[in-house]
Amino acid sequence: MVDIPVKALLAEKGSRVLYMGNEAIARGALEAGVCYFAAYPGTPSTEILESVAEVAEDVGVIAEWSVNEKVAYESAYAAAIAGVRSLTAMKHVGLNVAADIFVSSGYSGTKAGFLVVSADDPSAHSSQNEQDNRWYGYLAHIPVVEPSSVREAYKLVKVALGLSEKYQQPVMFRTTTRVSHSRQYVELEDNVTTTRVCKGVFDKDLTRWVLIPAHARLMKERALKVWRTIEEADWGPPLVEVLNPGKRKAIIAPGLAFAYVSESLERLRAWNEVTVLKLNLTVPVPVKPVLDVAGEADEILVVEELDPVVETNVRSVLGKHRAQARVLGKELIPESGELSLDRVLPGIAKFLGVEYTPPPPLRVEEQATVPPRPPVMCPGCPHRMTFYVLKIAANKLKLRNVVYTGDIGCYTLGYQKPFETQMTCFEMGGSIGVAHGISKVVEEPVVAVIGDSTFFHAGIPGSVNIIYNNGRAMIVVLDNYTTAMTGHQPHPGTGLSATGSRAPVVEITDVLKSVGFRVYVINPLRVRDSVETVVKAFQDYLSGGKVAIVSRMRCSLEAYRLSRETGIRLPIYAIDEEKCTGCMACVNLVACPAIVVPEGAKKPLIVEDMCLGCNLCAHVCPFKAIYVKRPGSEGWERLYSERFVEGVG
Amino acid sequence: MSEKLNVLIVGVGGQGVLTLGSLIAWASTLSGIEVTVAETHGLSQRGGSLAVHVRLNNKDAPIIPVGEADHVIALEALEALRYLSYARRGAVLVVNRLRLPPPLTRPPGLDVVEEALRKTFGGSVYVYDADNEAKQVAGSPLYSNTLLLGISIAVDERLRRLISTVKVEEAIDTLFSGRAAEANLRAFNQGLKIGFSLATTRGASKAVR
Repeated sequence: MVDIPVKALLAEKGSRVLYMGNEAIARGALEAGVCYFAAYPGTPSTEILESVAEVAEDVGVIAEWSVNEKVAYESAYAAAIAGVRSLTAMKHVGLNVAADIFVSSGYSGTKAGFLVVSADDPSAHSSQNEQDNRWYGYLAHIPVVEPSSVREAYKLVKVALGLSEKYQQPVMFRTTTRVSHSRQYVELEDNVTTTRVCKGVFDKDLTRWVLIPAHARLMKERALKVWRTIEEADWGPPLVEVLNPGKRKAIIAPGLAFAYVSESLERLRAWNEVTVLKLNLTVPVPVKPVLDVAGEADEILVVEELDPVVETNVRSVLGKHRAQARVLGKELIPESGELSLDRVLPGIAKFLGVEYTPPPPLRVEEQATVPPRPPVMCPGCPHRMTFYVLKIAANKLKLRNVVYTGDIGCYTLGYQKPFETQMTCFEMGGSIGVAHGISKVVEEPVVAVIGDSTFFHAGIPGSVNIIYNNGRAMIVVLDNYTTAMTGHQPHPGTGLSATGSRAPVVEITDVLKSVGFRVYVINPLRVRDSVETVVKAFQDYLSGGKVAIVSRMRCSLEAYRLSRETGIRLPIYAIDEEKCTGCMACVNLVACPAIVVPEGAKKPLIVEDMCLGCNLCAHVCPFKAIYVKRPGSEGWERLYSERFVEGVG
Repeated sequence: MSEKLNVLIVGVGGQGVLTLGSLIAWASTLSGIEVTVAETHGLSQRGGSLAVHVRLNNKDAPIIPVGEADHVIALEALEALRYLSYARRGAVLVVNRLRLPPPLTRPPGLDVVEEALRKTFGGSVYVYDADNEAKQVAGSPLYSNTLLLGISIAVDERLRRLISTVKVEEAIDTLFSGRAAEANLRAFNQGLKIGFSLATTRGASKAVR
C-alpha cells in the first residue's frame, strides 16, 4: 500500500514511527522474535500479515497468505508446538472458520509463544456481523488480551506472547476496527530482533497432540489448571491497572472502552470521584482486582463495546464471592454498534449522577436530501460485466426467476440494482452450499456466484458436494486475479506468494474439471463472445449438465495500476451529445460511477478521469452514441485479460 | 502546543481520503504532536462514503464526537453536507467544488450544497474546484487532496499552529517518492497559495463589513 513508508516496520529502536494498529502489532511481534506468520486477508486484520510480508525476506521470517483462516491457524499453531514463536491473524468471522482447531489448541496448548489476532468489527463496517469474539476465549480456555490504543497494541503484543509462552497456552490478541485501523506514533522500545528461533523440534508427545477422547479429557484438565492460575494470578500493569482506588463508585473499562471512559471522565471532570479498573486482560476476568474494587465500591459500571462479556463474568465473580456491589452495564451502555464518546458519556453521567446535556448537533434541511452512498462497483469492474453478461444470456433463453446465490467479496455489491445477481450472502464459500440446497427444493435455475480467492477459501468442498449429491446448481467463479476487497492480496490462483515471489498457479478451471464440472471460460471484456458462451453454458445446464463458468478479467483497479506502471494507456470513452437521445440506458443498465447526469442535464456524460475503458456502456448504448475518445495503447487489453503482464511483477 | 484540534476528512472511496489522513498524521508526528487517526477500510472503500477522524493533541479515543470537529476537509461536496453534524458551530470547512452523485440518484446541486453550508457556517466555508486546479498544476485530479490540505492550512490558523507547512512537505517526502512526491508538493504549495489569497480576501471583506 502506498501509504506505508518503505520499511517503516524495521525502524530503529528509539525512533518515533507512525503506525497503523495492525502495523504496530506486526512490529511488536517482530521485536518479540515471532518467526512464522500465517493469515487470510480480512478487514480489519489484513495489514498485519501484509506489512510483515513486505519485510519478511529482509528479516528472515516466514509470511504466508494461507488459503483460509483454518489453514492459517493450523500452520502457525503447528510451528508453535514445534517451538517456534508464531502468530496468525484474522477478522472476527475468520475465527469461525478456524474454530475447530482453535478450541482444540486450547486443550493441547503450545510450547513457544503463539498469538491468534482476532480483529473484530463493531458496527460491522466491513463484515456480515459484529460478533464479539471474546466469548471464544471462554469456549476454548484461551485468554484474551485487548489493547486500548495503537501504542498499547505494540507493547501488549510482546506481553501477550510472553504470557502464552509462560502458560504454554495460545493467547487471543483481540483488536477492533478502531485499534487495527487507527494510526498513532509509537516510540520503539527495541530493535527487530536478529536472534529469533526459526527452527524447532517436534516432540512426539502423543498424549498432548493426539486428541483422542482419553487424551482430550486429560488435556481439558491441563487447560482448566492454566485457566484457574490465570484467573487468580495477582496481575498488575500493563494487563491490569487500578486507577484512583478506594472510591464508592467504580468503572471497569476493558480494551478500547478505556479510551472513551477516560475522555468522558475528563469531560465530566469526574476523575476524582470514581475508581477505574483498566483491563487489558479481559478473559478470563482477573478475580483479585475485581474483588478489590468491589470491596470499596457500592456500584460498578462495566463500560464495554458489544456484548456484556466482562460484565457477565464480573457478576459471576462477585456472586461466587458474595460481594455486595451492584453491577451495571448494558442498562447504560449500548450493546450493539461501535462505541463513541457520544454513546458512552450519557451512560457514565447517569451512573455518576451528574447532569449532562449533549450539545444539539448542527442540522440543515438540505442534509436530509443527501442520498445514501453505499459502496459501489468501480468503473471498469469485471464483476459488473459478468453480471451484465449473465443477465443478458438468461434473458436470451427466457429464463425467469433465476436464483443467484452470493458470497463475500466486492461482487457482493451485485445485490444492488440494476443487477440483483447476489440474492444471498452469509459467509465465505456459502454461495455454493446454499445454491445446492436451494436447487434441491425449487424448480428455477440456481447459480452460485463466487470470487476466486473465496473459491479457494471455502468453495471447493461445496463444489465437490454438488457433484457427489447430484446437485442442480451452476457455479460461476469470478476470477479477477486477486483478492480485491481487502486490498489486492495474492491467492493460490495468482502465481504470486505473499512476499511477491513467483508461486505455482493453481488453476480454478483444473480444479472444477477434476471435480466433475464442464467448465466454460469467458473474458467479459469481450461482451458479445461472453454472452454467446454463457448461453451455451446455460443450455448445457438446462439439459442436465454439471456446469461451471470461470470469468477471467483483472480487477480494474489493478489494471489501472498496471497501466500507470507500464505506461500502457487504457481507452477512455465519451458520449456523443448529437447521437445521445437521453434514453439513460447506460445510466440504468450499467450503473457505473463514471457515468453521471450533470445537474439539470437531460443527457449523461462520462467523467473522463474515472473511465477505465471497459466498453460496457458503449456495448449497451442502443444509439451507438458512446465512442472511444482516447484509444488505448497497443495491447491494452492484456492489462485486463492476462494473468501475467510481461515486464510487470 | 497542547491545543486540541479535531479534523474530519470526508469524501468518496478512491479519492485519497485515507492518504490525506496518513499525510496529516505524519506531518503531526514529525511536528512532535500527539495524533490519532481513525480510518475505514475494506468494502466501504469502493466508491462509498468515507470519513477519517484526525484528533490532534487528543489522547487515544479515536472517534470525533458529534458536533466537535473544528475543521472539515471535504473531497466531495455532498459528503460535506452528509457529515455536517460532526462539525462544531464556527468550524472551518474546506470543500472541493466537486459533486459525485451516487449512481441512479439525483442529489442536490452544488449551489444548494454551498448555500446550505454557508447558511450554517457563514464565512468559514471555503469552496474550491480542487480537482481542476490539481489537474493543472500536478497533472491529475488525484492530487486534489493535498491541494485541499494546502488550503486548509492556509485558511485555518489553528491548524497551522499545530502543523507547519515544512512538516507537511517532509511528510510528503516520507510517504511518496519520485514523481508522486513532486506532484504532491506542487499541489500542496498551490493549495497554500490559493488558501492564503482566499483568507486575505475573506479577511478584507470582513473588515469592510
